[in-house]
Amino acid sequence: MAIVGIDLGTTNSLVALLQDGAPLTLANELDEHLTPSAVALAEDGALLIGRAAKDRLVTSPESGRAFFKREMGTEARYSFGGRQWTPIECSALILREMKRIAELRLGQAVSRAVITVPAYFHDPQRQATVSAAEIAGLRVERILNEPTAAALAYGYARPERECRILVFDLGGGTFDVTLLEVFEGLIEVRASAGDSMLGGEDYTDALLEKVEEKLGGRVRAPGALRQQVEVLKRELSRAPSATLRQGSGEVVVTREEFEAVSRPLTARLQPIVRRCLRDGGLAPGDLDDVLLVGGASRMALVHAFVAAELGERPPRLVDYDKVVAHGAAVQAARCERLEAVRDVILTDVCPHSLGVEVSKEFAPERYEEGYFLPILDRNTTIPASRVSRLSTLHPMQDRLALRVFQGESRRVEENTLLGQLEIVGLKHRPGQRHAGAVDVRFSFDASGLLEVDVTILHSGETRSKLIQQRPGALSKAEVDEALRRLRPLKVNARDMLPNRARLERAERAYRELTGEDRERLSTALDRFEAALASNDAEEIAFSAALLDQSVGSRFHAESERQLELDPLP
Amino acid sequence: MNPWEVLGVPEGTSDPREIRRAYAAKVREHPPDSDAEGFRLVREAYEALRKRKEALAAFGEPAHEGAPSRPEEEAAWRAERKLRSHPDAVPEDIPAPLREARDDDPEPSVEAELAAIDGAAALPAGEERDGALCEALRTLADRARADPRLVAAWSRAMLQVAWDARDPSLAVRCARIGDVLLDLVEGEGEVALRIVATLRGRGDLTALAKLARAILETDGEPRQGIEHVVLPLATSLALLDPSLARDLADHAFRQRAQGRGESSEWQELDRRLAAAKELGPIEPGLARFLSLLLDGRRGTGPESRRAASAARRRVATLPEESALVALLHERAPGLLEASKAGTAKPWGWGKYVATIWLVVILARACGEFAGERGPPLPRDTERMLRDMEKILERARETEKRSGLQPRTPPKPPASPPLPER
Repeated sequence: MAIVGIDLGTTNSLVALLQDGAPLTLANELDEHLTPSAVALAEDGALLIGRAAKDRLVTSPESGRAFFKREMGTEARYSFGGRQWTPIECSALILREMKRIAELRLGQAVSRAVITVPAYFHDPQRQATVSAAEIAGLRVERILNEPTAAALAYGYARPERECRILVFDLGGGTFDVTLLEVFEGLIEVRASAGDSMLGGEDYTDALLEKVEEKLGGRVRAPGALRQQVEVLKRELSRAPSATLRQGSGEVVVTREEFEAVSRPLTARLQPIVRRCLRDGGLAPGDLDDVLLVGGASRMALVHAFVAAELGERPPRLVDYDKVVAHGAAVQAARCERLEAVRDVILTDVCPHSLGVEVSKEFAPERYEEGYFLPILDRNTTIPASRVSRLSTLHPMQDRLALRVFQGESRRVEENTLLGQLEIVGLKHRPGQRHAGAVDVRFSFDASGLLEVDVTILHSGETRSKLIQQRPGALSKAEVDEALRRLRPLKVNARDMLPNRARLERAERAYRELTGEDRERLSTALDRFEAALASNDAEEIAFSAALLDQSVGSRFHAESERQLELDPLP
Repeated sequence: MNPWEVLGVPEGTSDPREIRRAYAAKVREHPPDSDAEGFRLVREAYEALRKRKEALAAFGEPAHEGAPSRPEEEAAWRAERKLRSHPDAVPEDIPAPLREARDDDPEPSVEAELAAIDGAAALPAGEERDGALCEALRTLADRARADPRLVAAWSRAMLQVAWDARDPSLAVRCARIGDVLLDLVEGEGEVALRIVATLRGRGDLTALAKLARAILETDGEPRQGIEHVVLPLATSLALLDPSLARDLADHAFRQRAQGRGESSEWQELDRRLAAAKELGPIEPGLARFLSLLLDGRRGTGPESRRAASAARRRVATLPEESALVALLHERAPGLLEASKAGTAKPWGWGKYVATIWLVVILARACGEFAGERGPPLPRDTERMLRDMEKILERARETEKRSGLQPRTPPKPPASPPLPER
């Protein structure tokens, strides 16, 4: 049974697998490889996923949700369709859609997957992703870091080259930088850094603010405005200025203005790139290639930033949207132990430091607690094992609570708590050696399992605890409960998907048009709905063509996609 | 098994290409996905050999290709082992051991070395000249390490080349940590003093911290008067790493006959240590920012004045800090508006509030320190601070409204452990 690779993105998601030795992304019935990561409910209560949901959100933003990846691993709740949704449930619906597309194209059941996440995702965010997969009915073979996936796709295509590459991955909602070295057929990640709250959507927000300011109070269709701004943003990467029309109003935004409003965002890229290079021990001059990955990397201002920061070498332009999915497909093939990938060896790093809470003595006998002592430093190649010797505060102390954290702050409260270990039997008899001392060993394996071993030195006693980064945080009962909650909202009949998308798109267009155009559209829409009700295949096909014509190219979802697929500047 | 045996290369090999090839071959035998334990051993051996090369380079010896003599390798490997079991130690900063000069040694001649320095200095300015000069200075330093009677000649050459010829950055680049320690133990400390001043001027706290650790770890008995060098070092580090600064101050105190707490440098150090305690942990970037500001405000002798003005210039051009300040500047009005309207995005708050909070308290501390001395903060900063305070207030209200609690320190654990020194 095939294992598929899934790129679960903030804006779009993809599913891919290795076919005849080459990674291949799978398209849905709309022949789209990119499925928007959006979920919405139609007026009749049907659950919409992907393009249809995205279009529905334009006309009624409160009917669903997009960009939930940014809130994975948090307590966020969305309410639409008369109930509460968690980011995990929304992601599960997208993953279920990916599973469905894969099954549709492969003609067989798919129940195992490799899923990519931003390298800078913390542990709870990774766990949430695994839980979402469980709800979607997928067993996660491996959680793979997105830039690592990009590099895997890159290294897989050129195994014989010896090179040092920087992967610059600015996606819809997250930013990752990863430094890799490929040598002797080995793909080695040297360092990762990132910001899981910075991406193309923030650029769109910045531009949206600017446009709103320029429009003043003349915003006619606020729901559609964001989508228009999105298109405007893309146009600005190809032309020095672009125009946006809202009702009777019209605004022109120049590239300089866009650069000015997004400067605070671009300023956040620099320290991350520098930290990654510093951690990996390389200078910009040492790099053989810079890989731009993620849809937002298309922006001209990102190209300018990369050129300024990493030298004037033209960055290697890759298939921005698909490369991560391709890497996931290669990893999936490795999990399957396929012949084509037998020679691919990959070593990764842990992106965050792992350590324990300690007290520090600032003056004799005056301790301050709550300090973080890293045991496994960030960017250590995994699997790895490190040991640190700690001691109790007081000679008569018998027990201690060892709290395990992940993060980079000096104080533990700023870091993420992973687990806790109780140790008893520390009190020693006089004359025993190593009074109150313990050895704390952290072992981190390639699949993200952290094992903490504590050895009490004077007695030789050992306590250990597995801190599971996988499988997910949900119990069997919780998964069942989540499944039960999602069941009444079964996705409509499969062949409906293109029609659903067409309907949502047409309704979106209806709100925009006026006069004769609107009338014509209204007629076509009525006829199409009647055809759907009649279930007459021929009539449906005919009225669909008619409707597409009436919607016109301007409101065709295609227009947006064409921009995405245009040749690069 | 030593790391060469693990990787299956001839013992003593230091050719990076050969080591890497052997590593790649061994990783194929022990892939990380299926043989974690085997991979760990291979990886550790590989990292040990890589680090060893760096350590050798820091000793001043070139990391030669081929196989050098065995005892040397053994020592480096042992040092490596020791370091790995003590995570606090800094591998590249081990000072070279000093040999006592014997009285019956003939007076050494350094004419060849001095000629080499003069020759290099006469080259047209450029990278080639700098490289040659560095090499010549290091050669002389190596001889001085072996024979302390040459320290004076070396430090004269350093002072002449670097400061008299207006290029302190060259001296900072040429001097290795071992050289600075040599000057502190055997020399007048003049070179060390100026290197510290230049590093402070640049705000290079990382280098200062390395130097500080090396000073604390050196075995040689530092001379009297070392506090002139060590105190400014401790002052600059006080915000970044208070415990290191405190150790350094104690170290300086031991070398000083009179009690501490009289000179203005001591007072400054105490003030900053108190602030560091008050403020809690500070992000390294911000610590550097504030240290630079504070260092720039002090400024007495001609040297520190120069460093101070350099510091002030640097504050404006530091990439990370200026990016942060720019970010705050630009976001401030928008955030203020958004928070009034109650439309700020939920995911943005935590981060902004944390950053803003840091800047506000840092800048407040900065203002307090400046006190009567020095000019007030730039007007821009004042305005920014006011904005930040407003935003902070807003944010607190929003948090209250949404039921989120501001971060409070968690309850102390039953009995937290202490890292063993």
